[in-house]
Formats: sequence, C-alpha cells, structure tokens
Amino acid sequence: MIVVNYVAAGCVFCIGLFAVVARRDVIKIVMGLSLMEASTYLLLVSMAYRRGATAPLLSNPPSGQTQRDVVHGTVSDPVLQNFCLTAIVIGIAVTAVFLTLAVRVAQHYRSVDAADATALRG
Amino acid sequence: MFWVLDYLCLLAIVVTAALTVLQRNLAASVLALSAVGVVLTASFVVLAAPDVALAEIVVGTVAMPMLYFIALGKLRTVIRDNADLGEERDRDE
Amino acid sequence: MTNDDGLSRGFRQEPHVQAGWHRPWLGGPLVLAVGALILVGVLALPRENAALPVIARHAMEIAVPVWGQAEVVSEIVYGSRGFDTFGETFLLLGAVAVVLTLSRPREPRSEYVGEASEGRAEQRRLDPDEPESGDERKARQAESGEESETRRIRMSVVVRVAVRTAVPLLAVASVYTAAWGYTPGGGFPAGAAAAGVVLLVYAALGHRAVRHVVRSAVVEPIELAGATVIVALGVAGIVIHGSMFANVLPLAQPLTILAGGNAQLYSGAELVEVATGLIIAIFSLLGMGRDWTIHDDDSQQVPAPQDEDQ
Repeated sequence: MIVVNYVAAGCVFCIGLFAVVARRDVIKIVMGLSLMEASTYLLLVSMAYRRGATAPLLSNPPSGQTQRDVVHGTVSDPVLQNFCLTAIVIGIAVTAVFLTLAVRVAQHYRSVDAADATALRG
Repeated sequence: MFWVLDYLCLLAIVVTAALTVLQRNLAASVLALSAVGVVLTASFVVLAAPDVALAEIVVGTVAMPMLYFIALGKLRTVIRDNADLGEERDRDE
Repeated sequence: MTNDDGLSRGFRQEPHVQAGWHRPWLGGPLVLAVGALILVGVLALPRENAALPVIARHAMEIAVPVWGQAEVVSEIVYGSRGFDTFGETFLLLGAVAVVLTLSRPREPRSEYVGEASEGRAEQRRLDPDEPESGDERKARQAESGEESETRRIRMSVVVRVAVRTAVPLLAVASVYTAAWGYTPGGGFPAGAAAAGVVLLVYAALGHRAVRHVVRSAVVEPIELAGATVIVALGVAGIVIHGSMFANVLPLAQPLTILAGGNAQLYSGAELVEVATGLIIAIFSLLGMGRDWTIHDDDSQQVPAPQDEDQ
C-alpha cells in the first residue's frame, strides 16, 4: 500500500523532468529541478515508514508504552530521515546557485528564453 | 484512517506539482511550489517524520520562495514585462 | 540608439506569454520512458512490512545510554552521523560562496581602468576648485546604489507594529528549536527561521533597520566562526576519542537542555552558520546589479580600425 507513495513520488519526478525538458523560461527550468528534488524527499520518507509505526522519539512515548517498548517496537526508520534532512539542505543550496546562474544568464542575453542563449552553438 | 490521510496528501502533492508546471504566470507558479512544500510537510507528519517535516516547512515557506521572488524581481527589471500581472515598466530601477 | 524607447529594442517578451511548450513531442516520450523505468524500480523497493534495518535499531538502542539523547533523529544527525551533517553544512557554505561570487557587482570603472585617477589629475591641473555638478553627484549615487528604491521602502504602520511584535517571538522560537536536543528540529530549521526573521525586518522596516547587521564585515566572520566551531568539534573528537565527531562534552540527564553531549554545541554552531549564510546569499542576490549599462549595446559594435604600420 505504500507503493502508491512511491508511484506518486515517481509521478512528481516525471512532472519536474517534463518542466525541465519542455519549458523555455529559465525560471521554469529551475522550478522543475526543485520538483524533482521534492519527489526524492517524498520517496525517502515513504521508504522510512513502517506499518503502524510511531515517530522515532523517546521523550513522550505513546500511552501505554515505556521508552523501552518504543526502542524495541515499531518505529519509522530514523536513518533514512537523516538522509532526507541532508537532501533538503542540499536542495536549497543547489536551488540558490542555479537561480543565481539563471539570473546572470538572463541578464547577459537580455531575455529569459533559454533558446536565446546560443553562444555555444556549433 | 492512516491510508485515507496518506492518499489525500499524495493527491494534493501531485495536483500542486502539476499546477506549478502548467501555470503561465511565474509568481503563481512560485506560490504553487511553496504549496507543494506545505503539502509535503503534512504528508511527512502523517508518515511519522516530525524532524523532516520541520525542516521542510521552514525551507518550503521561507527560504525557497524568497530566493525565487528575488530572482523574479531581478529579471523583471531587465525584461519588459507585458502580460503577466498587467505591470509595465519602461525604465529600469 | 538614441530613441526614447531604446530599452525595448534589445529585449524580448517573456516566451511563456506567447509560446506554450517547447517540443513536447520530443519531451513527452522521453519523460514517459523515464517514468516507466521508475515504476519498474519502485515496485521492487522494500514495503512497509520490512524489518527495521540493523543500523536503525542500533541507533535507537544507543540513543539514551551513549548519547543521552531522547530524540533518535537528532542523535543520528549530530552524533552517529555527524560527518554527514558536517558535509551538508559545508556544502551550504560553498553554495553561499558561489552565490556571493556570481552576484558580485560590476567593478567600479575608476579602480579598474584608471579613468578616475587620470580625471582627477586633469581636474587638478585645470581648476582645482570646481564644485561637483548635479549630474556628477547623481551619477555617483546611481553607481553606489544608495538612493535606489529597493533600499528605502518601508511598509505601513500596521505592518511595522505587527513585525515589531512578531520578531522577538520568532527569534526566540528559532533559538529554542536549536537549543533543546530532545525536540525535533536542530540547527538547520532554526538557522533558516533566523534568516527569515532578518528578512522580515528588512521587508517591513526597510534597509535602515538592518544595515548594521547586514554588512559583509559583520556576517562573514560570524559565518566562518560557526564553521570553525563545527570543525573544532570534529577534530576534538579525533584527538580525544579517535573518531570524528565522537562525543567530547559531558552527558547530562536526558530530557534536559544540556542533554546530548555534542549535540547542543553542534546545533548552535549550525544555526549561526546557516542563518548568516542564508542572509549573505539573499542579500547579495538582492544587491545584484546588471553587468552592463543602458548604453552598452552589442549589436552596434563598430569593428576597431585596423592599424596599418607597415
């Protein structure tokens, strides 16, 4: 049943890829990249989920359980959540750099159309 | 109950992602991207990942739209903007 | 070149206003092929009835005894996998350096070409007492960007009062997120929220309210100080215990503010670094000028006259 999550993450990835491939505005291309990164966050957190799991927090165990029960019981995977946090930070860094590049390119060619940046055309 | 919430969040994510790509108006698509972040956060809470949800809400509503809107503003003074929001600038700042 | 609408000649319309998709017949099948590949791959991923991996179970078991941490994800981020967090924080630092370099303003022509010094020498020769004319003053101000609109605007009094009320709460909330080890959060969301606080003050109260904070002489050393603390923690772990980011601070009782050993110092340093890094990136993007002026027009370049010496 969590397969639906994975398939939805794949759909969002394909939507982002389509934006990169089929749109000419440089800002839309950067947005497509952001969408692809968002799809990987969803995929990682969905992979971390276990059936009937609780959050991997030991501070306030759910009613009827002690800390020990939580440690040995069903929790969602904290290691994959760590990867997702790293991915979010990387996403914001890449977006900042890519946007600055896009603005510089658009300023130089005086147009937001990616098809106008023809300096390297052989 | 969990699956109902989960599938609703997934539907919202896919719909807002499609909106981001299909919108012509750049400011509207930036806001749709921010909405993707918000719905992603709701989905993370449902999927028992509070730490990731906190990071995603902060990034998706503070840092990401800020960067995009600044980039849009820098481009609007370079390119003559005719039809999107009805603004028209004949001279730069 | 001298028509009054000279700007519009060199510019194009934003393409998405008229054109829609760009070769969708080429992009569509490609995306569908990638989507099919992803579908095949995703169906083979482990589902929700898989057992928890050994690393995850181990991390949960050592969280309270070894690290004194009640929040397992924070223990992994700042403890067991502190090296990954070090990598991601320094990647953000590198990205901020790239944004700062790319949005560097145009070098003032006086320093680069020597025109201003020549001009000064000539002015001294001709008439040392000539005052600055209005045009010259306006040109200097335009170049330095002091009087531009984006630096001066404040918002209405309702917004200003609301921001003055909300900013202390938001600042305390962001420090809280980083200070307590056993609540979800940590340094990165706290840093981004603190950068958001500075941006809120800038947007509502104008540039004058933040000009003492948002100067490169202030924020850059602070950012690198945060980075240095993180490196020092890692090296201290190597020196004292033999592995990077091993715990070097005394453990406190779990569920207290000092719990987690390294975690609180690490996450405080990450707050400082991420907040100042994002402030640098955003304000250098905001101050990004063009790399050309109104009168540069490439299409009108006259080829240089050839010297014929022979």
